[in-house]
Amino acid sequence: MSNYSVFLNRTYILNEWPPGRNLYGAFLPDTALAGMPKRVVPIAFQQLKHASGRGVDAIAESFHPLMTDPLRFREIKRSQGHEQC
Amino acid sequence: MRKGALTFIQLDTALPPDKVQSLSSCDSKAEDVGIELERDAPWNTPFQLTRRCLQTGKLILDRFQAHLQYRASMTEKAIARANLNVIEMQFCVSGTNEAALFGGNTQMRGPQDMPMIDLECSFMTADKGVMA
Repeated sequence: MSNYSVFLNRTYILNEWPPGRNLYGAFLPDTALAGMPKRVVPIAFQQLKHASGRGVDAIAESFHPLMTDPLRFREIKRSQGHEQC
Repeated sequence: MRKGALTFIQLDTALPPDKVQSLSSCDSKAEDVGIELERDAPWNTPFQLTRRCLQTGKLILDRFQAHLQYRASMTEKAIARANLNVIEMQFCVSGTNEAALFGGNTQMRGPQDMPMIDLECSFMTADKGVMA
């Protein structure tokens, strides 16, 4: 099997990753949330899918600014029409 | 890790001699995430696996490709050893595998599937491999 993966820090997801509706309907498993309300990760899957044909370097180019620039993350999220939970 | 640092890791088991390819991939996976690999074939036969990772302080980006069948498992023991605090999101490009996640339901995964794995939970996956 060939796949691309993003490993995200659990604390980062819970505390910093903005909640939103997931474009692909894949929710974080309950076990990942330790009793907190369900959150979804809308951008990660979309970025993975778009970048998968261009290699891991392209994925990094897509993700790295999102990790370091929350403003840009929000702009992308708005432009893609994600709704708040 | 230094803030803003980007670490690059590349693994290609085709580079070492055939007799240690399986062992080198096993060591790599175990060191990274505590996943234990098993094969039906002897360990000293060729096993081609490639990985390319980019790591920042908050995420790891990984391209993983196995060319032969193998099984991987994350046991309670491995979870304790790895002490991970991460969620994995996958995008499957080619090939299929059968996975049992979160102690129960077995699912077939294939191209275009996007499973999520909590690496603090035990799981097993039987990968059929893919030809490049």
